[in-house]
Order: sequence, then structure tokens, then C-alpha cells
Amino acid sequence: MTDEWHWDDESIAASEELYRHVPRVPNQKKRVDPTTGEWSLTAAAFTTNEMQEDGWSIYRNGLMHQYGLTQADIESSGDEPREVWAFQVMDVRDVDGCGVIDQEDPAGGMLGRAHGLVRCSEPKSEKKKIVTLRNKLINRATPR
Amino acid sequence: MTGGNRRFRRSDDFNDAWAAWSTGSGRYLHSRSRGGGRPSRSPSASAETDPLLAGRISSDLDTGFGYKHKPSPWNPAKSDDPESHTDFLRFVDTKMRRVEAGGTESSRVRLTGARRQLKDVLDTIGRISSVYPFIADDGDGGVFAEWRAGSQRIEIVIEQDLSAYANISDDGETVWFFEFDPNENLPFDEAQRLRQALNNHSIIVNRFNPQWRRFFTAG
Repeated sequence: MTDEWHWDDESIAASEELYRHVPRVPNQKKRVDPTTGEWSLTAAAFTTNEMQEDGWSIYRNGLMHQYGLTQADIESSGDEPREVWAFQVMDVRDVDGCGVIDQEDPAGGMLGRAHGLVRCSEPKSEKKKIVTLRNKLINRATPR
Repeated sequence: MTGGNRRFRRSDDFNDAWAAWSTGSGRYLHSRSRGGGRPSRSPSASAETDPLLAGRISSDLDTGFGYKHKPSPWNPAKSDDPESHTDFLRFVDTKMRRVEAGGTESSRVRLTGARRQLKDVLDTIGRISSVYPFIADDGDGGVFAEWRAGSQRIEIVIEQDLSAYANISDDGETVWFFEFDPNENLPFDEAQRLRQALNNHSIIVNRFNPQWRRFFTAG
């Protein structure tokens, strides 16, 4: 890792879909809205701790296509069952100072090549900004 | 309350609650407050299409995780039961003990502290007819309580380093954010802001789904 902090790659199209994988843990990462019956992600799906350490882990749809990967590759990766929620790069960039970069995960095999990070412009961004971004993504993310 | 349609008549208290949600009782303006719209990110939902809104909720609601929700065993008969605040706190306490028990050995000490602190905050803002919060650990050693009605969310988070914040958002926009020391009493104004938001949220949820308790189990 270099000293320079990269937080947005403008070559990544605003309309590109990003996939966030969350463990299929009952009553933690997602919940039901008692007024609509819809599922939505919770704060546990985007913790401030993870953001402040390195950024929120995602997979880019464009790179997955390029490497012939599918959603099933995400769901079956890791030790525990996962599910996939999608949002767009523009949802991230809607919050000033937030963006998306490529960050290959060497331990992730072929899937790791499609790996990226959602980041803020500072390595230890203030919580209010992180929470603002999280609110946006929870509102926009849809299950796949 | 009987009959699905009656649940959709918006009384003054409902419209006031919806406006207060969006405006923070005049502290800020938001476009939703002008329309007094319904609390949903799914505009197509209606009593005809949504069994929840029509009050036809199965007692074994499919959660999508391969198990069923069961009604809470201590559902009060009426939401204005004078013991409901006790009921609210009992739900909170039991739920947090479950969260703590489900953590790893190394996370348990942190969760114990966070659990006590979150319970204190919830005790401060909970009221007789408060809707129960969704409570869980965040997987990083913290715990959080969250209420959601359509696009509106209230969130109180105690993090793994025992720092804390509260957050109110509408349609993905943060409308109120406050960091606090969970070892200290919540300041009066902020406690009042959260109490008011929870009260308004509870009015909306009770109006749209009087059987909301079916979504909450202690297990």
C-alpha cells in the first residue's frame, strides 16, 4: 500500500452497478420494514469501522462481465452463505468526497479481480460523512 | 380497530407526525413535509396489494432466511397499556442479552458495555406506545437500535470503541446527526429530539400496521 490515498477513479462510469455482499445472518445485516414489508439493509451492512479501516468492499459489474463472473460467484465465495445487494456508482458520488476505486483482492481468486472499494476522500473520515453515505446506500440498495 | 380501510384514514395526528418527521418540528425544511405523503419507498404498495397494510399478516411471516417470524410472546393486548414502557424495555433487554450471547468470547466484554449503554439511551427515549427497535450487533463489536418506516429511519449506534451517535434520515438524506458520550446522560435537547422522532415514528407505524409487533421476537 502506498502512502497516497486513492478514493475515486473517474474512469469508472457513474451508471455502473456495484455489488455489496453481506453474510446471510438473520436479523443483523437486513430487516423488514413493518409498514411496507420490504427488506432493507441495516447499519451492520456498512459499518463505520470497516470504512475507516480501508473502505467498504464491493464488486464492480463491469469487471465481473469482463472476467465472465456472475452473482453466483459472489454468493458462493467465503465460508458462509452470502447475498448480494446492488447500487450504482452515482449513489456513492452523490455524497461529496465519496467515490469508488478498483482494489484487487489477491486472496479472492478470479472474483478478487473484480473487487473494489467505496471510499471517502480522507482515510479517517468523520462519522457524519460516513453515516450520510450509508444512509444513501441503504436507501438505494436493492437485493439481487 | 377493524377493517383494513380504516387504517388508511389519515387523522390529524398522523399528518402532524409525518410533517414533524420531515421538518424536525420546524428546525429544518424538507420537501416531503409539503405533501404529507405516505411512509413508503414503494409507492405502489396499497391495502389491496400489500397484506401487511391490509392487516392480513400471517402469524408465521416468511423472513426470507428459511425460518418464520413468530409473534412476540409478551405482546400487550393494547398499545396504550400502561405497562407498555416496561414491555418496551423488557423487549430491549431480552433482545440485547440474545445479541450478547450470540457474540464471540472476545466480543462479549465489549458488547456487555455497549448493551448497557444502549439500554440507558432507549430507556430515556422510550414511551408507552413506542414501537420496538430492531436491535443487533454490527459484527464489529458494536450494537445498534434502528427504527424504519418507509424511507424514514432512526438509528442509535454504540460502536466497538464505545463511542456513540444517533441519526435520523429521510429518503436517504441525513436530517439529524448527533455524536455523544454514552457514559454521560444524553443531553436534554437531543434526548427530546429523539423522543419526538420515536413518538412520530410510532404514530405512523401504528397507523399503517397496528400489528407491527408480529415482526419483533425476542429470539
